[in-house]
Order: sequence, then C-alpha cells, then structure tokens
Amino acid sequence: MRLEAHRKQNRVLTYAGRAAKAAVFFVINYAIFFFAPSSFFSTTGLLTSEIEATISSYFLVIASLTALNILLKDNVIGLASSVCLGLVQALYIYVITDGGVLTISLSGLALTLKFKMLLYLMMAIPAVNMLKQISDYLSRSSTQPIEMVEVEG
Amino acid sequence: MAGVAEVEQPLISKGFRLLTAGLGITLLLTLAAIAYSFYEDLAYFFQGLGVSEGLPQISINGTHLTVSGLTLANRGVYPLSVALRSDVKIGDADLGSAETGEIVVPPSMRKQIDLTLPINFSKAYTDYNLLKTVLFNATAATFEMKVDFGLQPFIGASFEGGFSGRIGAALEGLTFRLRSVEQLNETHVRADVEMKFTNASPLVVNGLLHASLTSTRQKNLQHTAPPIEVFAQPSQRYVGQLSFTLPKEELEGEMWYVLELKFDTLGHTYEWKAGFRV
Repeated sequence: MRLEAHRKQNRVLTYAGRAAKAAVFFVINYAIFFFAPSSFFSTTGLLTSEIEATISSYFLVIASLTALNILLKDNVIGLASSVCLGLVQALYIYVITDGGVLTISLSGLALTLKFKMLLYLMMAIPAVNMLKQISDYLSRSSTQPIEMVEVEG
Repeated sequence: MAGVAEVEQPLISKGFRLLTAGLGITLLLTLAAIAYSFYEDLAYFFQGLGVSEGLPQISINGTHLTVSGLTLANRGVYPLSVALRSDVKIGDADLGSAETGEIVVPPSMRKQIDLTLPINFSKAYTDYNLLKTVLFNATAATFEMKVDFGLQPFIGASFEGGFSGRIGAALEGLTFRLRSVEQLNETHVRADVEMKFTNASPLVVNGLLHASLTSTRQKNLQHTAPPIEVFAQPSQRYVGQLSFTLPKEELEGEMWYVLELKFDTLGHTYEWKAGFRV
C-alpha cells in the first residue's frame, strides 16, 4: 500500500518536474522560433501575413512536440515526438529562410542574402539532437534501470 | 528509502550531446562574428555612399563608360569578396554591360575598384524612336549595378540597385538665325541661315540635313537650300550654314519664318519644323 503511494508520489513529482522543464522549453522555443524570426522579418519589412502564419503554425507544432517529448520521454510517443520535433525544426529553419536565400529591399537597393552554409549548420543541430534522442531511447530499452525498494524489517 | 539507480549515459549519447553543444557554440560564434563584420562593412559602405567624396565617379566618352574611385575597405574579420556588374540602358535599349569578376579584400585591407564598360550605341542608332528621342530631347540613361558581396565562406549578399543619369540631346540648343542677306540680282537674294547646336549626347551626330523655307507670300511654295552634311562628336558645338536663294520680297518685313527640315542619318529620316525670326 505504502509502496503504491510512494510510486504515485514519485510519478507526480516526476511529471511536475517535466512540466516545469516543458514550461522552460516553451519560453526558449518562443524566443528562438517565434520572437526572433518575427522580429527579424518585421525589422526588415519582409513580414507578410503568409510568413506570420508560417511562423505561428510551426511554433505551435514545435512547442507541442517539445512538450510531448519532455512529458512522455520514457515511452514510444516521446520518442516519436522527438523525431518529429527534429524534423519539424530542421524543416522550419529551411522554410523560414527560404532555403538560405533572403531578399530585402533597402531604399531602392535590393539586398539578397545567401547563407546556405549557415543554414546547414542551423539545420544540423536539431538533426543531431534527433539522432541523440533515438540513440538514448534505444540504449534505454536495452538497459532498463533497476528499481530499488527498501523493505522495512 | 526507495529510489531508482540511474543508468550511466552510453558513450554515443555523450558524443551526440557534445556534438550538439559544439554545433550550437560554433553557430553562435559564427553568427556573432558575421554580425560584427557585416555591421562594420555595411556601415562603411553606406557611409561611403553618403558622402560625396566616397561616391564613385562616372564618366562617359564616345565608346566607354568608366566607374572609378570606388574604394572598399574590409573592416570585418572575414575576407570580403566583391564582384561588380553593371548595365547601361537608354530607354529599353541595352547599350552595354561589364563585370569586374570576384575581388577579394582581406580583413583590414582596402581596395580600389574601377570598372570600364564598352558601350555599343548601335542599338540606339537603329531604333527610330529612341534615336529621335536622343536627337531632340534629354533622356535618362539608366546605370544598373549589382554588387556581390560575401563574407567568406559563410554568407553571400548581393546588392542590386541603379541610378539614372541625364544624357543631353544630340541636337541640344538647336537654333536657326538669319545671318546675312546678299543681293544676287535684281530679283533674288541669297539668305544664309546659321544653324547651331551642341551635341550633348554620347552619340556621334552624322547625317545630311535637307532644309526648305516655307514662302510667306505664296501658299504651298517651298524654297530649298542645298543639303548640308552635319557631323558633331560628343560634346562638340556645331555651327553650319544653310543657303537659300529667295525672291527679294520674301524677306521683307519682320516676321517668323518656318523651316521644314529632314535629317537623314543611319538609314532613317527625321522630319521636323523649326522657325527663325527676321
């Protein structure tokens, strides 16, 4: 009975910790995937309703997948969400930067920025993170943690 | 006391973590260095364009357009690569283009860039409407410039912009005036009409001018002068003379006289009317 209660308490604590981590990651995701691109596009005058919608929808997907990944990291849904998260983040970076080519108009001058190398570097981070999650899950499933319970005499 | 014994992270997981961190740090440092270099270089570039002595000088002679005095300094931390490409147009006619190829400016160095464009005026000469415009009116020559700008090897940028420059008319300030009247016989006089203009265009004016004077006494009567050859290099002032043999009474009284002119040049004939007052 006590063991069951202890397990429940542990689970609650675990999920509370994960929820807090998810909240922190929500803020980080907001800064990276919503605030920074929105500010950049609005400063350069490139913010259109289409780009705004793209940023918002990708941000919502990224935030949801991050929350799922953190909350359910021990099971297969967590793994699936982390793989999807990596893919969505990489795709988002590619889509939002238009494949590494941005054109800005500056008082009669058209400025075209090409940054393919930087783009690949930016896309590599979620891709490597995705591989890490897969590797972590696979190694976890082959090496299950041992639960130790102290038995009162 | 109960607990879960943590399983030590496998080596591969640590490796991935290290790789992610390394990539993140590289990205941040690269972005910071690029932002710094870009800010420094762009600030210099626009500062240079903002002051008159930083502006490149553009000059046109008969066959070439030269852009000179464009100095670029790399104040960033990455090598700066610049390639200039420019096109010159009058109206819709493309007169020429040129490019410098890639010029690499190492950090803390400056380079002066000159660009010379060969200009092919044959398109302007063969287009009737364009040549007519150029002959009689000031036109705008568009100079479009593309600057490929790169902070090697991470970022490439290209500026595209253009400006228009005024090109004067080929027959700028074209005027006619009665220079002298000489008695030829009892019934006729020879009237010399001076024609002058300045060729303010970069085109060479070369053609045959036919002129006839409309009679003020008799309807539908034209007095024709022998055609004269008109030749003027760019920036040259031209003074020519049309000689009319007229009945004595034609030039009696102060009034405006109308000249009908036909200019044959490069296979086209341009017709117009001009006047002079006696």
